[in-house]
Amino acid sequence: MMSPIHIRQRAQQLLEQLPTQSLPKAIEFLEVLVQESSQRTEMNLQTRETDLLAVIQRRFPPNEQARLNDLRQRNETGTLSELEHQELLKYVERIELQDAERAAALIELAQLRQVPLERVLDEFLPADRVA
Amino acid sequence: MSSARIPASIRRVVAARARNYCEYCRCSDRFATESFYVEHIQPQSADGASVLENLAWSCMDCNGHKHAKTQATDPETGETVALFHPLCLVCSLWMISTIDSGQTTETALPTQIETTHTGQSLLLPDWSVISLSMLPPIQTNGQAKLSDRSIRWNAGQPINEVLRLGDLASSLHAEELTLNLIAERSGIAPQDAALSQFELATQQTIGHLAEIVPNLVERKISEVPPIRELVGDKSEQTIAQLLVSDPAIASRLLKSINLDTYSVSSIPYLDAVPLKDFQNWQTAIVNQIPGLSQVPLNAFPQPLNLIGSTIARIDMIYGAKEIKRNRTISGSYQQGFSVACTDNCAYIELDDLENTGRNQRNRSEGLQWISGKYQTVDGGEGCLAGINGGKEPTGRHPFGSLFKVVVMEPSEQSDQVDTALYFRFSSVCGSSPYILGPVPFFQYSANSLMLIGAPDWQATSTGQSTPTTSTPAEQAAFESTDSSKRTSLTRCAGQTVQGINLDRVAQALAALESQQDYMAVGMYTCADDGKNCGRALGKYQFMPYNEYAASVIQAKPGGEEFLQRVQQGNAPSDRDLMQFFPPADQDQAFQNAILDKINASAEELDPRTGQRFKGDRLIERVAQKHFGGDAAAIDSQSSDALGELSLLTYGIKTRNFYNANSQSRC
Repeated sequence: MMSPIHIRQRAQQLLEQLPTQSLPKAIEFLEVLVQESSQRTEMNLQTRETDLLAVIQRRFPPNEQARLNDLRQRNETGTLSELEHQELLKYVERIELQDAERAAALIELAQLRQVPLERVLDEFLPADRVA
Repeated sequence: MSSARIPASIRRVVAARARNYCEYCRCSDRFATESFYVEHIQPQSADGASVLENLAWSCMDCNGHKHAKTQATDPETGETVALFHPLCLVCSLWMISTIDSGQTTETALPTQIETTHTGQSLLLPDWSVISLSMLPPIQTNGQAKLSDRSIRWNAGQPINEVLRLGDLASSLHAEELTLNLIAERSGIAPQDAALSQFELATQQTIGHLAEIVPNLVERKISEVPPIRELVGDKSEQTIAQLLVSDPAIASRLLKSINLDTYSVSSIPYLDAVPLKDFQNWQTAIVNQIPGLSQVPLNAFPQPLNLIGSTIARIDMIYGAKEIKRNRTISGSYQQGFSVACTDNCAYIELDDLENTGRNQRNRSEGLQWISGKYQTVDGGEGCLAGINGGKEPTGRHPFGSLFKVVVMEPSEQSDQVDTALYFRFSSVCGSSPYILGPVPFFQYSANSLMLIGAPDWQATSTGQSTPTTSTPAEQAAFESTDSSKRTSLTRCAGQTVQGINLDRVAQALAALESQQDYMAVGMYTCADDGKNCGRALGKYQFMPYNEYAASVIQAKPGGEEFLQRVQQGNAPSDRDLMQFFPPADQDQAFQNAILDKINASAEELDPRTGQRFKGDRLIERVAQKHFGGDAAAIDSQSSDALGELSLLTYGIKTRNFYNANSQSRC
């Protein structure tokens, strides 16, 4: 199997061997190939961005979020039982993992869009976050 | 352990102080999907108070695992040890931070670490946390004879037991605060304190309280328990009626009854009175104003902050045998900061951060900061300039005029040097030299980085100095004041223009605005067909293109860039707002805007009278312009978006507030 460098060299050799009258046809063919390639890249980027957005915007299902909010609220007033505190810690572990994946996705998205990370952070700052 | 009872304003202060990082694990809240907690470092279950020095910004993970614990078992040693204290205020040892190999800086105070352009770390005091009550006590006895009193202080005495409100006026504008603002910024509730602890209020007469406390005259005596006890059984009368029927009551002092059993809140809206409205506010001892000692020093109307940003590395430390040093950066406001030293010149020699060697002369290379323990310089101004023979320790002001930073004892043996703070006394006619100290500050070893502030020294040294072998506070003979040095320095509760008091009209307009938060940031909007865009900033919701706001912001280093960011839609953080548009600047910009509106409106014809606007009508017109812009139609019934107030009613309400707010003292 030829390496990518050899493939490119072979393509250039073939192009150089072509007589001048064949070049317009070659250009036409190559332009079709370039367009297809460009569309594939664009589609790949869009697919990747969609995947990243899904990670960034992932949240708990409503019933679990409601339970977490309740535990948090009662943790703040010091009315959690030991069992409930352990339940809260399990949520905390899941959130930690989820936030770590989300952070990686935010960084990758910024690179993908070629914008500063700060801009992406601002865009996806959770709306319900209390400062 | 966290608490739901922390008000939103305190959450914002704690979050801003932490720069939105968890104060335990340093993760950023901007990456978190769940909001952070305001954590009680010492849990409430263990009597931890809801005050700023006991609150930390904490992520869910740290908060959840710490829970109500303050100790845990060390997994390596099996010993029970105290958990990490993010603010390090109750550490058994004072904070010791080795920030780079060979660079040790020690201090008792909460700190923040800044990274220099060379990637080195600089330890700085965190003024968003440090309050007067956190400063270490004064180290030596001292005394001073001012024009109106003699002051003595003892070694071990807290600084807030000696300083008075007047001493904080020019540097912090502390007199602009109300107890409400103190509560908001300190995290404690001074309204719950016994009325007797608010000594400044207890020294007021009933007549004066009636003038300065909003709506007090309209209240029935029965609604104000301390006054009810003072005047006996006249409960159904209003206080206004009482003052008419019994004029002698106006001159009675509040403290003529026992006030221990009443709280500050027993006099409604006493907490809304600016401290400067109380008679003799200048003489109130700081710790006798509930909560004032706990306000972080950069949360005052004029925040304490860095003045200049020059950083140097301590290259060498020299003892008192040195003589003839003339490349100095130490001195005083009076003599400048390049005062030469003739003998007993203990000092630290500074270098640039890169340590490029003595053959290359950089800005900081070879500069000398002389010890103020060994050298005094001229200090003081106005009627208090003669105190202590007009002398103070040589030093610098990297944090402004509240105190002076003084190099104390450079030790060649230990290669260490300690620094201390000296404060001064102030009155309406001047300020003493900086003689109240020393208050221990930072201790550095050779190679440490230190902030030296603004590059205000000269290339070659000038000025005369006086060598001494003792600190000023140890000197016995303090001279009396010299009234011949009196200057024209005066303080006044607001400028009066066209017969209108600026302070009062500002207060009246502020009373009508729903937005009272200096840290408020508005939505991103555009005006003038998209030519002017940005977010409204601060208490008065100035747009970044407003000329009054822009001029004060642009005057700050980096201010122009800050404005551009806001105009592009970036929401500034509390810290940014505090840096580029602090409350005192917001008030100043607002007053400047009002001043121009008054002058312009006084030239307009009032259609009701056919003459120029003046008096109450001038106030109404200024308010209308404030509400609807300079082109607002006179007395128009046009209302705001909510339809609650028209231009006409806005003007009338402002005038009513203005007139209800007692008399001007200017």
